[in-house]
Amino acid sequence: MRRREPVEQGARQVVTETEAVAAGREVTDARPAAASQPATGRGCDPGRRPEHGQPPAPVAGDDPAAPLPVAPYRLHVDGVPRRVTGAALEESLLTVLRERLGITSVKDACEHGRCGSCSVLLDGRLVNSCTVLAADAADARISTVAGLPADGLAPVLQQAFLRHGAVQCGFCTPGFIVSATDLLTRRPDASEDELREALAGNICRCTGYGRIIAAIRAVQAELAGGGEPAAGGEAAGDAGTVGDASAAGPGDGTGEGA
Amino acid sequence: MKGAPPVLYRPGTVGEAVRLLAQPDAEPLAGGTDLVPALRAGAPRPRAIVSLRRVLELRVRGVGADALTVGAAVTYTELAEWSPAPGLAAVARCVGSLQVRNAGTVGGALGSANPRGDLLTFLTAADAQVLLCSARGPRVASVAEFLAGGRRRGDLVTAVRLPPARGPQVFFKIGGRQAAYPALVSCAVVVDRLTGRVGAAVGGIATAPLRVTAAEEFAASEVDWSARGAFRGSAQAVARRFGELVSAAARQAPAQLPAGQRDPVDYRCHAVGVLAARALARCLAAPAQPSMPVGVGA
Repeated sequence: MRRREPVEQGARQVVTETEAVAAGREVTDARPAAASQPATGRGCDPGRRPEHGQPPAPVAGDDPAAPLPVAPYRLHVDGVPRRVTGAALEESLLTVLRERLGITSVKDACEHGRCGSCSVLLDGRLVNSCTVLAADAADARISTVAGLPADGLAPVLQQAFLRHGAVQCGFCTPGFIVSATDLLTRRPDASEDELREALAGNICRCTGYGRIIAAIRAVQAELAGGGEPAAGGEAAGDAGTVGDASAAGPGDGTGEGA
Repeated sequence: MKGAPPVLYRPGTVGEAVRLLAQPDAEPLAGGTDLVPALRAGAPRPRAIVSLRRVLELRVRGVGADALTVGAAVTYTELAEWSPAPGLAAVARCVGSLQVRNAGTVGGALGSANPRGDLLTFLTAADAQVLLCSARGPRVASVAEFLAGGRRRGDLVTAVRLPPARGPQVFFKIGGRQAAYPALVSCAVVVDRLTGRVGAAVGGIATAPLRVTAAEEFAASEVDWSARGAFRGSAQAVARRFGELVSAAARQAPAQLPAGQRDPVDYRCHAVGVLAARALARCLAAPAQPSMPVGVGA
């Protein structure tokens, strides 16, 4: 039922397996998808709370304390109705998107609403999907970075991020694109202070934010119909008009960021 | 096997929500910013979760002659843009990140009762009331009463009521990255020029926001708030003394929060004094609003 994720097998999976091995359990593909399960497996102190951000050990199917699935429900993700079955009630939207629907562009890092890497639009509002109960989003429109309109700001921002070197390890990038798209949609002429404030909920540990801000400022300048902002030190090579942004994509040669 | 599977309820009215919350082990879910990560981190799973997302009644905001009413499901983002309550809006703007402000609600802040909650410090200083509803009917409690008593089973916070802004309202906090961490300490000062009342509260000291009555009385007696700048001595001296009184009250506060590795109790008590002094200085410097009715001085 659950397909393995081709990418995204980073630290998280490793920790999970290490934990399972430590607990003397076998790791199989049939591991329950619910990463949000409380750590109640055998060999664990039932009262122990796992560290924040640390995945709980997998729970065996016969564990009496294992989360019980709720009735199937539908999520409207990126314009497509998706059926969710076998999910536990406490699963966050992040967990369901990634581990049940295989949408891995929504990144999973802190899992308590601090890092912004799982940012999505829920009925048009920017939220951290790790703080949304998936089953409670059943009648909402959910947009991930992949579902942002292809003729909108997101592709323009993606190209600008690539041109400006705003992507290093890339883990935070989908969240940043969602947040930046949300901001520029609401406030196309936001000041730099406003921009920094609006993006404060997205953490990047590589770039130091300078290039991210520069990329967004460049898009703002394009939208305003002018050239690059005077302060943007990396303006060289950037086309100045709106129409150029999409055209710059294929010829840019920087590769696809997603 | 422990009973039936957990259930999510999504009522559409306060009446339905209250009925559902009356059952044992039912937890209300508002914005989810506290509850959903807590469930992820292994908090005990309630038998029923009652989502308030569909209860539109809880999203109302009202402006009356004597009071502002803010529905429990109003988010920080909505508050931040609400012009009738500039002080409250300023507090809402400095809570968490945009993502958190878009989800987190007034009712959720009260229900979670985080002792460092920015909004709770302000509501305490502003003498706000919590409107509650349960199967036994509606009731009203002060923020302090509500926080001291804990949320009773079956209680649903429906709204918060506070006096309209009739003077300067200042909120300051100290902490790490705002978007990611709650404030270490915070201080709210709310002045009512009409009645001469000064409300002051500090967060991050005790298990609930602490009202600093000695400092409030000092600020009310020392300053004629109905007229600008009418106080004995210099503004700086008044503010400094105010800060000292707040620090002293913090040191004597019952139910102190335990000291953290990087925030000993001494530091926190000193820091709230500094914040309070700055907050009062800001209030003293605020221009008297011309549209405001001129009332009797203290």
